[in-house]
Amino acid sequence: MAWLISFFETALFIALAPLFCGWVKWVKCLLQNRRPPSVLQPYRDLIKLFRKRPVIAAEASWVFEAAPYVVFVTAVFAAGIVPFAAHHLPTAKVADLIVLVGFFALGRFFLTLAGMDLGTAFGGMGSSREMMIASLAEPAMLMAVFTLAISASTTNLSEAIHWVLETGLVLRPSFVFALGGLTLVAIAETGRIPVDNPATHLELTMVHEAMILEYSGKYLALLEWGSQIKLMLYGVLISNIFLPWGIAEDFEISHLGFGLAAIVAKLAVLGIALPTGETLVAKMRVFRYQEFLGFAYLLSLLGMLSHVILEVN
Amino acid sequence: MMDSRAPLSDLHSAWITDLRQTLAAQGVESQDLTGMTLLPAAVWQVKPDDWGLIAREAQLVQCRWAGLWLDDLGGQGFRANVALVKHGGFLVVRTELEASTLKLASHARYFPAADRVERHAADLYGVRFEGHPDPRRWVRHQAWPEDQYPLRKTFPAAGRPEDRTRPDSEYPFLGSAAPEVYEIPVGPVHAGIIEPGHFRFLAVGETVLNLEERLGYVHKGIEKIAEGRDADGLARLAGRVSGDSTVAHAWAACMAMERAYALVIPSRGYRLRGILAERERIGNHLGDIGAICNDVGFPFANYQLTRLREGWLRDNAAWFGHRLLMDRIVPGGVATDLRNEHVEPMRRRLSELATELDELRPILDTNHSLQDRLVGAGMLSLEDATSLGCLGYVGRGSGFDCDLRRDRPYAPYDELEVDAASRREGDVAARLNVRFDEIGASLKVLDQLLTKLDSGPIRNPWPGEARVSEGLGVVEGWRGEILAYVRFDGRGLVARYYPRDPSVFNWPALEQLIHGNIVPDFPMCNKSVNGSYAGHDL
Amino acid sequence: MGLMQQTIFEQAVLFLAALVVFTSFLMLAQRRLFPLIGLFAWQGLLLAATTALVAYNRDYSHLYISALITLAIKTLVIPWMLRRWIIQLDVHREVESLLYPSYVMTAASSLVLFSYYVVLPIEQLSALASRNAIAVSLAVVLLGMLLMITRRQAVTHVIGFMSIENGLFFAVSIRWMWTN
Repeated sequence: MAWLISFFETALFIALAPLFCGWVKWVKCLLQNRRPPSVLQPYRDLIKLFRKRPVIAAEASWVFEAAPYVVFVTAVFAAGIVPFAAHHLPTAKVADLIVLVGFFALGRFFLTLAGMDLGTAFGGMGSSREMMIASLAEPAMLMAVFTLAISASTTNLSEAIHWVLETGLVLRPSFVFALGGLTLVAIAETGRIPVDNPATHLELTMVHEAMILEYSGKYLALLEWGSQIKLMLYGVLISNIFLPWGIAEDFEISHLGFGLAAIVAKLAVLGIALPTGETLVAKMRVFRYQEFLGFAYLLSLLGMLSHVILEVN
Repeated sequence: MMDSRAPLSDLHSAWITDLRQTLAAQGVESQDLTGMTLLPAAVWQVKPDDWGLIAREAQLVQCRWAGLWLDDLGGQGFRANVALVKHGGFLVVRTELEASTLKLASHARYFPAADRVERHAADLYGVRFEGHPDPRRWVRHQAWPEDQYPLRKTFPAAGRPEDRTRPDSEYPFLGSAAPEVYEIPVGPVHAGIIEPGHFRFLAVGETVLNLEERLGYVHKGIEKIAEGRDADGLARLAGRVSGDSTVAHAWAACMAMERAYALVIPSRGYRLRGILAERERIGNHLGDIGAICNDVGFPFANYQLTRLREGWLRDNAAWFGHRLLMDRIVPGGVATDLRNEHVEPMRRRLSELATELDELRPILDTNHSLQDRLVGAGMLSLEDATSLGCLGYVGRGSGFDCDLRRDRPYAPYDELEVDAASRREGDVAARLNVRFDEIGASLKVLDQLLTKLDSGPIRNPWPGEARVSEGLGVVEGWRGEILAYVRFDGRGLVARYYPRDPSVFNWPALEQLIHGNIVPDFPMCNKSVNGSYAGHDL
Repeated sequence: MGLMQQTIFEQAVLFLAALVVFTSFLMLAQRRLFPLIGLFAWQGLLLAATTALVAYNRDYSHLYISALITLAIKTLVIPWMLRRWIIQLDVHREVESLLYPSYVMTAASSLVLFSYYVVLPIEQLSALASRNAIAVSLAVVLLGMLLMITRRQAVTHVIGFMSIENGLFFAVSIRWMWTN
């Protein structure tokens, strides 16, 4: 039963990811005084891409064809680990937070390989920038995760959420800092402004888009879907760790329904905050990434420090 | 009109007299044709051997090199012309060349601005520029063979095209032997809806060591197909040299033709021309400012400015019948009148636009993330801007301040006050701010023009008689000074038309200002210069 | 766990303490003058809020006056005057170049740890929370000093100096929370 719900929850997660992306775009359009497309537009785009015949360069190796599957599957596995509408899931016991970070790293590794596979100028440039971002973002993310893990004495997501719920409302400075750090990391990892511009057509400024520039058809669809899942993953991660209230503690239908409504509401709010921030700032210079992610690391470190100094006996 | 005045006032011509004396002291014989042709410019005819000396001395008196064009006189050899400018005074130096010895000393040694213009002439006329630092082909790709020269009269206007043009894959770009230098080819086909052009970067990591432009992909043979057109036909063609400068190019061509025929246009006609030109300037600057912001990932500004530009263009369509004001300027005046009931709405729109920009500009000015990108990026030094002869906002952003509307006002600007915007910083932010300031200045000019607009005819008929004559038209387009040369063949038809777009001198500036910047800042730097591909390639 | 045994007010004070340190860090990272002044104003606001919270919780009416004065001077008057100076001196477009920002940040983090260990052996500050709060104040003082050392602009020096003063003030007002 638990496995069934877990499986169903993951499927729902994957199915809703394009909707979340559509919502973010919809809000962004409104904020920029444009008439938005339907929130279902990402689904239409995916269907269109799946129907198209992919074109693959003659020089492409197996990495090029395998990478979209790896990226998509790691995203799906990561979605399976993160509690969505309910926690105490069997999947959460199998893998913990460190594995989650590992899944992200694996997907990114293949994506950067694929970017370089064809030897085009833009792909290589995108891959090198992506690796620069990753090398700076991962320590910051791990630090934030460890702050949580030390407070909750576990790296298991489900147990950590349980612990947060159990202790009730406690004002924890460490959590605020960790939240800040993780948010900055999420912005960098999901390629949003100010780190990367998902809407740009300028090859020279791209990061994520430059790596997938040569993809078409179903491969592109898988990559797009994968990055949509990743965006939603960070949203769910942030809202369920730091504000877990509402999540279903058991598998009763009404609780599950309430849990689902709660997470949808939280994501909707996040989906307003993200494009609002994106509208207010311009994309930063490439060499500012270091400062930006250095700041994310600093926040996570401050989280750890304030935990040690202010919170522990 | 200005042509009725003295050809050159003292202020504009003092340097020309001095230069002539300096050259005479060095044994350069020049025949002074001033007043006989190409009014209001001064004209000298020199021997081909003295061609290089002219450039050397002109550089010493800090002239601006403003263009070079050759002319096939049809069996009687060729004529080369170079335009030099200082203090708003124009000097055209010309020389006659035999078809057998088609060579000249290169001016590029003294004026870097001459580099590509000479290569353009070499490709199209087969003239050899001796001592040219970079004798590679420029506008010729593979559309015609190396030993044929399309602008010679013997070359058919339709060309001799092959069934399929060969790919142009062997252009010798500057390379690097160092393994850590990364070569990035970009274009000619770009991801956005922009014109074609190739950029070759040499980069170490993200830092640009060198940028080389390769243009000529939109060479349309404008100069060739202009031959044999009548005045109306040439005005239409000139309006299509570069679509975003359609008013300015058409005006320059019409001014050249009207001067060739000594045709005076009615005062309402030239005031309407002023209105059209200023409307074009504002429309393009609005679009550019938004596009620069969009390239650094700040789409808010882009959508706001695009909205303003769209409203502006719709007004153009409502009042003048064309969004981009194409074919509104015709020989003898303008084609469309501004109806009296439209004057008040236009005034209202001017103040509305000013209000909107007063709201928008502080938002951009105080957005740190945006200013962080724009300030200090793409620095063009005053020295580079001067030696390349950069025009318009590119020159003025670096303190190289030339604006014809103020330096050498032509009608209707001789009766108006024009605030020429200028900055010294030389970065992308400076070029953006110059655009903002120019919009403000143009709004004021438009207001003055609307006040001065009198009733009366808008166009004088084109004279019936045919002449052998030539004319030079120079106007300040939104990108900067546009120069147009027209020669009539005596049958009322055009024998030579040369439009010199300001982009010719602004494109090389991009290669300079990108040095030391990072690769992802290129789109923004490029947009801040916004050279016209079509106007450059011709 | 230490935090959970505290009352919600004590938690809030500690939370504010963490935010005060955070503003100090942000000031170290900020290279533009206007945002720097903004951050200084925020620090003043947090200080005033902390003092007011202590006053409310412990019912010390004289602390309300202190909070009000802090609010008026540190979040309004001083930032406003600094702004005016900057505009008069015409330096508001200047962007200070930070030498080795990552080293400065590492040094800043070490200073926070250092201040914690300095305060550890002070026996008189018996209440644990009080001791931690003193560590935070000391950290703010040291970070203000670091700000003064690493910058060249006079205005930044003034802000650094006043942020040192903020740290001392914070130590004093937070002591009231845990003294009887």
